[in-house]
This record gives sequence, structure tokens and C-alpha cells, in this order.
Amino acid sequence: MWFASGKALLQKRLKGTTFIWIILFSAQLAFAQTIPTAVQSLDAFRASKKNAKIGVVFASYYLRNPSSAFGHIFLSFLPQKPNDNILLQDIVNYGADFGDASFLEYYAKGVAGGFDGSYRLDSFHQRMREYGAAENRDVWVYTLNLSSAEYDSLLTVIWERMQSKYDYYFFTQNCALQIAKLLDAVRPDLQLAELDRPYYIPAKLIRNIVESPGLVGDILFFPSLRTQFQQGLESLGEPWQDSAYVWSHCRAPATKAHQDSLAIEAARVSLLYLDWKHGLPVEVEDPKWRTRRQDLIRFLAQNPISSPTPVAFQASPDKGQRESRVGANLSVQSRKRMPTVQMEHRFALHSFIDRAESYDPEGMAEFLDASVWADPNTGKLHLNRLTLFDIRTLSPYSRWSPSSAWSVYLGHRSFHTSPVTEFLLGRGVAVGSQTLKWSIQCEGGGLLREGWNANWLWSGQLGIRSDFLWNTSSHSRVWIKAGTYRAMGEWDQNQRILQADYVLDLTTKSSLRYGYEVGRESVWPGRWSLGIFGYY
Amino acid sequence: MKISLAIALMLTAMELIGCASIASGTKQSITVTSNVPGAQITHGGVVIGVTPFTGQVPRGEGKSLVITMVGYAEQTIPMSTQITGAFWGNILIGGTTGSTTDMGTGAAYEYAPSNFYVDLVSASRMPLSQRKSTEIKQFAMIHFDAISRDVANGHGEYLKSICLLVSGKVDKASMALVKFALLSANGDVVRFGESLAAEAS
Repeated sequence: MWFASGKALLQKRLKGTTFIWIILFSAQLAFAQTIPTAVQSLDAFRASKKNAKIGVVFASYYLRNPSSAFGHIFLSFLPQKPNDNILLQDIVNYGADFGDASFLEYYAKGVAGGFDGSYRLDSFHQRMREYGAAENRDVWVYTLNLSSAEYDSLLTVIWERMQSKYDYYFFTQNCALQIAKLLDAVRPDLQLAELDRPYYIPAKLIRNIVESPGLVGDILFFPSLRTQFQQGLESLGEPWQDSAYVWSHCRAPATKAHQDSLAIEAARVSLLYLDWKHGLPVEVEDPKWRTRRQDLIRFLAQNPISSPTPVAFQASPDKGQRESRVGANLSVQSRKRMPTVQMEHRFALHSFIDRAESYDPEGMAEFLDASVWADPNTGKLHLNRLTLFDIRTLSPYSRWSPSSAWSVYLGHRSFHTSPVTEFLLGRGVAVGSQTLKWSIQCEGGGLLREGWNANWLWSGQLGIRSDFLWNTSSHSRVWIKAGTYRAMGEWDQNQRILQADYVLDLTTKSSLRYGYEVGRESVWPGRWSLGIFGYY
Repeated sequence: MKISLAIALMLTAMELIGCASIASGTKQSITVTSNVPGAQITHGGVVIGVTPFTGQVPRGEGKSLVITMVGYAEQTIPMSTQITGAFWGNILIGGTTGSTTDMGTGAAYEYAPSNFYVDLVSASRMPLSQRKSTEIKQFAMIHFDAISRDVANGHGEYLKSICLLVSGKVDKASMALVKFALLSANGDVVRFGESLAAEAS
């Protein structure tokens, strides 16, 4: 009964937003690469890969491209000889050929399976240019412990599947599931491709293989330029950070022998910064960039370091990026003077409450954060909130990276018992370090709501929002989402509405979020609620 | 009135996050170089020039660059549309997707955004030596920055890999060879790739 009435209410309130919903929903799971392939005979293919090992490669998320928003996954052959190098190895990639699809085609065909998917061979180093340099994505390689028979069998399965095309679906038949199927074909006991949800993301496959006893051997880490730069910078003291800044922005160090290892490290950091910020050479607009870069290379070449600086293995992809989160909230509301129960489900992509050891939470994207509450008197379910998307960044401002924090929100919520559709854009600044971050943003946007006279009204709103994120340890995190103050004005009815929301979330161990929410909506004395909720 | 005010407000808000900078124009600047100069370049069925070429081509017209020269095999460089860049901004304002170019493999490839190199080969089958030469050039040009960083640091996976490609081993001599080619090229990516390929042959 509750479900039926709640569903009807949801359908009614979502009328007209279905299209946007589909687009945003589908944006979560889109993985595709287009790669030409060389057709070989099975014997030639097996001979070229004889006695090698194989690994699962996970390229971390890239929020600027929906195809990569959940990361990407593929197989890579590993060096057969001690003196060989993984960069020169082939990879097995499953992807779709999007051709020249338009924006709408991309989503419509992607959801409906209208694209051809295929397994192709590509080179590892090509992928590394794309991920490590151009897109600044960290890459992990999980070496698989397969027996010789299993490996030979896998080669045959790979070759067979490279001869065919498949229907590519964003949600299910994507890179992650297809790679899982390949592995299941030779190790049925693994059951990696078990589809327990209507979607399958790369992080799920990584979790599955890590949790399969004895399957994963060595894990290789290929940090992006950005990661290398950040680690290098942290290893420098303040004076050498200043030197590195000058060398990368104004003039390179004089080319002479230099005994101080920190000076050499500072020059190395300067070079990483130039390459990170300028990406690939032709995108550079600063004519002095190439000169400074060349000077830094000369300096480093004349001052060789005795031993390489290892890049720390920072994160474990299997620890974060869950497919979704569910939560429960028990609250008391002033309007009803009785406890109510709220249930919440959201698709969390790079949530701030992910464990700190997963990856650095400088951005968060959540989709379809839905909250319903049950009215004990009527037994009906009410839509409390439906966030279509909530994307925000928390990149700390620094002289090295003077980027601003920003946020985008589109959602639907209950307000004064009437539905409100809101669109908010925010821009501000975040400060802090890897341990502590704080951002403050000005938000502005519009809302569409059902007015008291039953007409739909457009309104504008402006406000300030603040986020506080504290990595207390590698296992725990506190996220305080505080100070969402928004003022709304309506100009067509000479009415003034002042709204203030106070939200306090506390996040702690193992991604389990304990929170306290105190909210007040509408003009005083309006409705307030006090509740506690947790997420998993 | 209400709607126009709302639209104005939303547009103002969009300025806050700089979505207006998404539009990237209707033309794309490209550079095409080949191992044999004078090859004809066709884009969208229109001849746009010969190599070495630097100029602009319309976005969205023609899916590839076709490089032709008498006596050599035709080379095609795919230029397909991908969802990229400021997608999240585009989706909000209903804009179109950005356009980038696929990284090609084989004898024609993009070594940097909108910079293409074409290894023209005899119309007959590509000989093994040229295949090796193409492989070296491709790796050297695509990873020019990474190799130069490794050379400066005196170690690194990219330096090891190019040494393996050029001389089949990683030792002081092969590293010195790469370092010399790098310094001689003086930042010229194509020159660096071609000189290493010449060393290998």
C-alpha cells in the first residue's frame, strides 16, 4: 500500500523530468574506447603471447568524460622476459564504436544497446599516454595468478571473442562485465560476472578479484603526473617549494652541478608541474614553457640523482566507489510532532564519505539521491527529496593550482508540502591540505514550485554553502556539510520567503556515515526536523 | 516575464561556474607531417593541402584525414567525435559534445593533440624494418615528454622501453644514444622520433 501510493506520487512528480533522468542515470555507466585491431590467426596469437602472464588494469575515474566517470578496465599482457617492459605489451580492451554519434544518439543507443561492442588489441603505452598524461588518471595493474592451462584457455577465449561483435549496453554489457566474463570462462568458480544489480561498474570487478582468494598477485601502480607532482611537492620543505615555484613559473635553475639533493628534487617537481599543467606540448600557449622545460631537463641531466624516488602506493581502488548507498533516517518533525522514518538510496560516485584510502576525494558526484518518508497516520509514502545530480569539487586552492571550487545541483524536494524543483550552481574557494579541506561557495539558481494559489512559480535563490572534510586517518573521515543558507524571493505575489537549512553530517569508519540533521524550512515558525541517519 | 527573469537568473548563475567557455568554435587547427614531404591531405572529400601542413579544418565535416601519394599506400587518420571535455557543463546547457581525435595506431598516428605524423610506406606490403621504424617513431613521438623526463632523471620506464625498441637492450650505451638524440632534437618531437628510428635501422 505504501509502496503503491509512493510510486504513484513519484511518477506524478517526476513527470516531465524523465528524459533528464534517463540521461543522467545513463551517464554513470558508459565505458567505451575505439581501437583498431589486427586480425591474427589463433596459432599466431597464441604464439605471440606464449608463457606470458596477464593482469587486470584499472584506470581511475575521469569526471570530465562520462565514458570514464566510473573508471575503465581492461586486460594487459605482462612482460615475458626480465628485461622486457609492460609499456610495450598489448592490452585486451572491450569497448564500443561510437562512430560519429550525436549527443542524443550516444545516450539513446548506449542505453538501448545500439552500439557494437568488440574486444580489440591495443598497446599499453598508448593507454598510458591517454590516462597518465592527458587525463591525469592513476592506473593500477592487478597481476592474476592463473595456471598455465588457465592462461592458455584464456588466450583461446580472447581470440574467439575478438572475432565477433556484441551489443554494447552502458549499464550491463560494458567493459567491466565483459572482462569479468572472460575471466569466468576460464575460472568458472570465480563468478566475477554475477550480475546482482542492473548495472556493473569497474570498481565492482576490482573488488571481486581482490576478494577472490589467491587470484591477485603483485599490484603495480602507475601514478599520473598530477599524483607524482603532489607527492614530490609534499616531500619538499617550504624553501624548496618556493624554488620549485620560481623554476616552473619564471626561470629554470642555472645549469651547473648542484650537490643538494633537495634542489634536484625541486627541479624534478618543477618539471612534473610543467608537464602536468601543460599536458601535451601543442596545447601550450606560453611560449616560454618549452624553454623552461628544456632548461630543467638540462639541469637534471647534469645533476643525476643517485636513486629514484619511489612513488608511494597511495590508494586502493577496491576500497571506494561503491555502486550505491542506502541509508535510514529516524527523525522527529515539528509539523507532525511524531517520529517519522525516512529511507534513502543514492548512487554514490566518488562520495566524500568514501574511505580515505580509496582515493583523494577532491570531487563528489551523486545521482538519484532519493529519500521517502512514511506517514504513520495515513500509511502513505511521501517523496522527501530526489536529487537528480549533485556534483561538487573540493580542490584546495593553492598557488600551484589556483582553481576554484564549484558545484552543480538539480533536484526535487518537498517544500511546504508542495514539490519544488531546484537548480543550483555554486562557485567558491576551497582551502586546506590532503588532511583537512574546507570550502565555501556562493550558490545561485532557480526553482520551480507549486505556489499557494496552485500556480507554478519560478523563483530565484542565492545563498552560501560550506563543506568541511577531515581525513582523520586512512580508515576514517569526517565530512561536515554545514551552512546551506539560501534566500528565496518571489516577485509575482509580493511575498517573501526566507529559508535556512542547517545540515551536519559526520562520517566515520568504513564508509558508514552517522549523521545528524537539523533542518528548518519556510518562514518562522515553520517546520523543523531533528534526526539521525546512517549510510552504508 | 516570470520565465524570462528565471532564464536570466539561471544564465547569470551559469556564469558563476564558467560554463560559457564551453563553446570551442567551428574549426580545428591541425598539423600533419609525413616521412616523405608533399603527400596530399584530404578532409571531408576536399583537398586541403600537402605535408607538411598546418591549418584549420572544419569540425564535424569528414570523419578522417586521408593522406595519399603516388607509389605509397593510402593512410587514413580517424577523427571521430567523442564525448569529452566540459561534458558536465554541456549537459546542463544542452550543448553539443566536444570533438577530439582518436589516437590512431599503425603508420599514421596522432603524437600530440591535433598533431599527426604519417609514415608513408610503399604500396606493397610494409617491410619488417619499416614496421620497426614506425614503432620506434610512434613511441618516441607520443611519449616525448615522458622520455625526456626519464632521461633527465636518469631512469624510468619510458626510457627503458625506448632503449629496448631501439637497441633491444637497456644499457648505458642505449641510454646515451637516446639522450644524444633528445639533446640534438632540441625540443623537436618529429626530429627526435626520426633520428631514433634511423639509429635503429
